Order: sequence, then C-alpha cells, then structure tokens
Amino acid sequence: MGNPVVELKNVTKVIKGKKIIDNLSFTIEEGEVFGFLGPNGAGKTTTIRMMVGLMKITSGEILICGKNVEKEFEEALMNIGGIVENPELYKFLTGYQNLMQYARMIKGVTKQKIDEVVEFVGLTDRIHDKVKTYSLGMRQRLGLAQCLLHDPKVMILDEPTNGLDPAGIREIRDHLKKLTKEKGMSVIVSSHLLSEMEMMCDRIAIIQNGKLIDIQKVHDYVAESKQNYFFEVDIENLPFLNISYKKVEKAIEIELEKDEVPDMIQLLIEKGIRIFEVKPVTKSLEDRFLEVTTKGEKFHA
Amino acid sequence: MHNLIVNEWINIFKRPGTIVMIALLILCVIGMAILTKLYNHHVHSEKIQWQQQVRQEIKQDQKQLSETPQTAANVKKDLEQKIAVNQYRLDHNIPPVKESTGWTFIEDCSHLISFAGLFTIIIAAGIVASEFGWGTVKLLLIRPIKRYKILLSKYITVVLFDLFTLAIIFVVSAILGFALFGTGDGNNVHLSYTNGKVVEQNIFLI
Ligand SMILES: Nc1ncnc2c1ncn2[C@@H]1O[C@H](COP(=O)(O)OP(=O)(O)O)[C@@H](O)[C@H]1O
Ligand SMILES: [Mg+2]
Repeated sequence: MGNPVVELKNVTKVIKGKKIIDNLSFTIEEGEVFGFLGPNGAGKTTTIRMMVGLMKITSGEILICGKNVEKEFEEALMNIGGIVENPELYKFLTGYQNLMQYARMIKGVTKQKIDEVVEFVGLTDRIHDKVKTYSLGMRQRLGLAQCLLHDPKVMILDEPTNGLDPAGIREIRDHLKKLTKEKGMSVIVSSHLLSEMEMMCDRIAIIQNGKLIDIQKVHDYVAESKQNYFFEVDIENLPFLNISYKKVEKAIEIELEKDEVPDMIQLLIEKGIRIFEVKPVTKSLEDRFLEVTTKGEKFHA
Repeated sequence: MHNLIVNEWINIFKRPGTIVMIALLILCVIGMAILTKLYNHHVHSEKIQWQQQVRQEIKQDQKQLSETPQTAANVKKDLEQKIAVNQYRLDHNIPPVKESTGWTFIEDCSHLISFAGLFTIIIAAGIVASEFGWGTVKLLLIRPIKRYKILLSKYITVVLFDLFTLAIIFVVSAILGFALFGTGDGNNVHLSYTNGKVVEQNIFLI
C-alpha cells in the first residue's frame, strides 16, 4: 500500500488522572476507509479530537501526512477535513453562506469549487435556504461539503451516521466510497455500530476502554469462501438429511460456498422440504466484535 | 486575517438580535429628535429678554459666591467661571443658546454612546461564547489557522462594531438634527472658561 496518511504513535491521553486513551498506535494508508469501532465511551471521540488538534496529547504523537499535529498545526490541519460529533453549523446562515465562511478561511477556494462540492453532496436545490430548515441528513451532507472545500488528504468523521435513517446512512456511505475512489482520499469514520462499519470500511480498528484490541481487514470476513446460509424451512416435518446443519429457530443453517447454494436448494426440494427463505448469514464480524470486546472486558477486569 | 474579520462581521449582522440593536439605536435618536422638537416649540413661545435674565443670574451667583465659605474652593471656582461667562455674554452680545440647533442635537445624542457601549458589550460577550453554545467552535478550531489569529480577529471585530454603533449615532443624529433644526444662525457659539479667560469654541472642540 501507499504512504501512511495518518500515524498515531503511542498516543496516550490522561484526564484528571484517568487514562482515557492508552498507548494507541496505528497508521492509515492512502485511499482507504478506516473504521474506528468501539462501544460508547471507548474513547473514539477523544482520539479524533486529538487527531484534529482540539485536545492536547498527553504523550506520544500524531502525524498527518508527516506533520506533527501539535507542533505544525497549520500544515497538518491543511490536510484534514473533519466533523467532530455533530456537524454544528451556523443555523442563521444559509448553506451557501456557511460554506463561504469556511472558504474564506483557506486560500484558493474558488466559487467553482464551492459549486462543485455542493453538487457532490447533492444539495444544489437547497443550498440557499437557511440551515435551520435543513434535515439532519442535509446537515450531515453540508458538514461533509464544508470539509471537502480545501481538498484534504484525509477526512475524519466522528459517528457520521448517528441519528440518520437508513436512507441517510446509505447516502453518507455512497459519498465516502466516491471520495476514496474518485479523489483517492483516506477516510476515518468512527461508529459504535458494527453493521455500518462492515459496509463502509476497508479496515476496522476495534478499541475498548481506550485500548486498541484488534485491527482487521473487513475483506477477511466478508469474502470468506465458506459462509453460513440460513434456510427458513418447515422445521416440524424435517426428514433425515445427510448433511451437517445447525437447527435454529424455525430454520436450519448450513455452511456452504456460494456455488453450492443452488444445489443445496435443489436437494432440499427433492427431499420435499418447503423452503420459505434463503439468505447468507453475515454476522461473522459481529460475533468477532462481541468476542474481542468481551474478551477485552474480562482482560480488563 | 482580513477574511476572518469579514466572516465575523457577517456572523454578527446575519443575526436578528443585531438588527434589533441597530434599530433600537436609530429609534432612540429619532425619539430624542421628537422630544427636542417639542421643547424647541416651548422655548419659542416664551421669548424672554435674555440680557435681563443673564444679569439676574449674575446677581444671584454673586450673592451665592459671597455666602459660600472659603473652604468650598471648587464651588467658588465654578461660580466664578459661570459669572465670567455670563459677563462675557453681556459684553459681546452673545445670547445663551436655549434653542436647539443641529449642533446641539448631536451633542444631546452623544448621551446615547453609553447605550451603544452596552450593545458592544453584548456582542463582545457573545462572540466567543456563542460559538461554544452553537457547537460551531469545533469546526472553527480545526481550520488550518492558528488560534491567536481567530481570537484576534474576533477582538478586532468587536472594536469595529463599537465604532460602527458610534458612527450610526453620529450620522443619524447629524442627518436628523440638520434636517429638523438647521445649522443655527451663528449665535450657537459655545463659551467656555479656560486658563482664566472666557473663549469662544466650536462645538466640535469641546
Ligand atoms: N473532558 C473529559 N473529562 C473527563 N472525562 C472525559 C472527558 N472526555 C471524555 N472523557 C471520558 O473518556 C471516555 C471516552 O469518551 P469518548 O471519547 O467520548 O468515547 P466515545 O466517543 O468512544 O463514545 C469516556 O469514559 C468519557 O467519560
Ligand atoms: Mg463519541
């Protein structure tokens, strides 16, 4: 892979004698979507605050494109577009006026660039309305637009899908995909929801109690050749099956490769089993997440 | 830096609260203009002999001066000055300005400056605090701009806002004053007592 865009080196944060982030180290490569997964209170926001220079780092260092966030603030922040927690914008201004505010703060942001960014997040129709009339999804998109103005190398978004409905979440997800594909940006997103992360990210770091527990490529889970498939069947009158399966409520689960699925359906039908539904079971990552976090809990205790 | 100040300026003026403040200032000036107009009317209808009145005043002040004990030096000095100014009026035939002109109206309106100061204080108190209230401070502080520049631009904006409110009072009262009361007729000389002498002054030099 390419160059590291963000590097955390032994980052520790202590607030009032309490270790909130404990010796966190990882790197984020060019063009990847990096997920930051952890239960509430794990320290995701705190880490992101340190990355964007909103909080002092107790020890260790954070480099953005090789620039130290604390010592070379302006140079480092030039490469970051971020939203920490909710995208709070000036409600009494229109979307466009909000963008102008941020455009004025950075040299070389043209009107053309603003229009392009607005187009990108799909707010062209409403951009001249006051922000207080926006829905949460639109605010999120305006927040996204606001951090894209200066073409940053890396976007840092704290819980960008928080409070959004599925359509809104999907929108954000599609936008992030487009950003990494078309502009080669890296994206860091945090979330406590695993299912979301699974769909968005290339890699996921799991943190708990301020400690890094695991970093995994999402690919590893999703493209596993064998997967469990869920067959909703008439379980009462199940004849003997010469295959290994697991009975779950009103259904059976069979581990199969994708190619084998039609054959299995055929087989079950031949046996006279009535099939109501067939779907892959994709909870491997969730299992893994629960597994590692509970292990961490025990370890912690 | 200049752009940061533009940003702050826009932020202040896009809020309804600020517009209300400016409107209040202008209303105050208009209110004073109405009151002054009514008072002027009153003065016109009286039409007294000013020399006689001034002479009476001098007599009264001299009596008071002789009764004042030596220890009240300040009071004595004030009275002496008043007598000197009044005597100067009689000698040079300068009637006291009773009737308002545009110039005196501006002077009256200068009392509103403390009102403007109050508004500036409100703006100054909010310019950093409300960014925290709105949560916008997070987006502001993660710009690639040093913190001191952001704070400095906020400070400069507050100073500019203060100057702006003063300018509003001055300009509005000048326009109203000259339109309603005229520039006066050369009798509007202001007399003051400096270095043991009575001098004639323009209102701007007070
Ligand atoms: N300013 C602070 N003072 C004291 N404790 C804090 C402060 N900020 C965060 N914490 C604590 O740090 C932990 C991590 O918080 P946070 O980073 O917000 O978690 P997350 O974003 O993962 O939900 C929490 O236990 C929280 O109580
Ligand atoms: Mg958080």
